[in-house]
This record gives sequence, structure tokens and C-alpha cells, in this order.
Amino acid sequence: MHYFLYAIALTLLTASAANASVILLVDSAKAEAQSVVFARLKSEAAATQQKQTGKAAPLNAQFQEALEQSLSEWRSALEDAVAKVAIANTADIVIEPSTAKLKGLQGTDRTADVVIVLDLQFAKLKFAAP
Amino acid sequence: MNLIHKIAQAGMSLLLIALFSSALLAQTPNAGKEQALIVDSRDAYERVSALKALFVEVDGKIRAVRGRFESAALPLQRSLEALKNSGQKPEDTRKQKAQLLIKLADLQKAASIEQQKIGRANELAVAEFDALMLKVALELQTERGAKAVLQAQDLLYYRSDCPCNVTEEIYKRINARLPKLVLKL
Repeated sequence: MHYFLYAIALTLLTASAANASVILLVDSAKAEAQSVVFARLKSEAAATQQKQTGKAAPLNAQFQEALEQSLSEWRSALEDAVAKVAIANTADIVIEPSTAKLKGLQGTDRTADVVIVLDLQFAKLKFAAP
Repeated sequence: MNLIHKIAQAGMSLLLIALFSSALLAQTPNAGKEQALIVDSRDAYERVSALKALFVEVDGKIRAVRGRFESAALPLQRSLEALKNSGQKPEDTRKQKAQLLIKLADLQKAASIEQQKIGRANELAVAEFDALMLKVALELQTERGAKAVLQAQDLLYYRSDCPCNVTEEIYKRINARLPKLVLKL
């Protein structure tokens, strides 16, 4: 009898939890700052410029443009990576923490997971020198 | 042994009470509801019949203005062309040419003013739609006890079949309440 009642109580709890929408937070600026690939590409750009011009920093316009070009591949895949992380977490909504704060919403921060997905995907991405 | 059995039974009863209380609390009006609702209004011009009709009307009016300008401007442009090819000295045709160019500029200005009027009337009509959209969104927010209504373009991702996506309901209510948007020219 007890077990039967436990089952009913748990079912009620699960059903009510299933109605609530799952919100994840992804901070795209923080994702860039945390990315190993991002940091590596920046170092490669500085090293290549050092070799070619004798000066590592600051990057000149040409190198900056080439770096942005390389980084854009990573950036443009962000949306897909967010979707992958959202699906894996059966999330309903993914927003920037700033939006969540503005709207008074709460969610779990999954920025680190998105960075892992992107860094794995672009592990072999190299800086394309101008 | 009997005492231990009684203690265990009391413990199980307490656990059951706690579980049921949590379940009941979770069933209260504000529990389990979506924190946020989503609206994806990017295809509103296709889905809201009044907005779709307004778009067709505005497009038609702008085309009509352009058509009127072109038919009024064509004879003037032809006269200008004829003057160019008349073989007369430029000094002799300067006055005529200037008059034609002034007439053309006036026509263009009149057409542009008319188009601006249509543009402003369109903005006002769209503002009426926007206001209703906001009103309906707030209604749904209150009905569902949500903290916020988010626009799809402000999200990094959303599950299109999420119960929190109220786009269809919003379109349904707007179509029922706004059969037509009037272009007040």
C-alpha cells in the first residue's frame, strides 16, 4: 500500500516538473574568452606576424583581419553548438545571462559545454596568414 | 522488535506525508508554469491577415504612385530627348530644357511626398498591430503566470514545439480581434 502511494506522489511531482520550461544560459562573450581555440589562434597570429614583420603585437590591420576571418568560423558555429547543448539538456530556451537578468529569469549556465563542443569541432583550425 | 517496527512505520508515514505535500504544492496555480513565454513574430506579415492585407494595399498604392509619375514624366522625358536631337544650338533650347526639367522635378517631388504619406500611414497601421500584439502577449503572460515574454530573435535557441511558444495563440487572438488595419491617408 505504501509503495503504491509513493508511486502516486512521485508521478504527481514528475508531472508538475515536466510542465515547467527549461532555461539554459550561454554567455557568448564569455565563451570566446574561455575558448582554447580562440586563444591559440590569437597566439598563432601574433607569432606569424612576429616572423614576418619582427613585431608580435599589436596586430596590424592585415593580420587582425586574417585573425577575424579565422575566428569567424568558430563564431558562426556558435548557434549550432548552442542547439546541440540545448537538445542534449532537453532545454526549451537558451538565452544570454544579460537577457535573463533583465527579464528576471533563472537558468543553468552551460557556457562551458558550448565552448567544449566548439573547441572540439575546431581543434584543427589554424590561423590563415595573410 | 515491535517498537522498531512501529518506528519504521511512523517514518514511512512521515515520508509519505512529505512527498504528498511536495506534490500538492507543485500543483498550486503558480507552480510548474513556464518562467517565460516565447513569441516568434518574424512571419507576422504572412500569418496575420490584417497585416498581410495592409502590405498588399501599401504595395498597390506605392505602385500606383510610381505608375502615375512614370506616365506623367514620359512625355516630358521624350520632349527633352527630342530637344537634344533637334540639332538646335544648346543656347536656343536652354529655356525649354530648363522648363521641362523643372516640371520633371516637380512631378518627382509630388510622387515622393505621396509615397512618404503612404509610408507614414503604414507605420501608424503597423503601430496599431504592434500595440495589440503587446497587449495579447501581456494577457497570455498573466493567464499563464509567466515572468516574461521573450521575442524569438532575442534568444540563442528555442524549441519550436515548447508549450512556452505562444506564437500560434497570439496570431489566433490577433486575427480574431483585428480583422482589418486601416491605412489612414
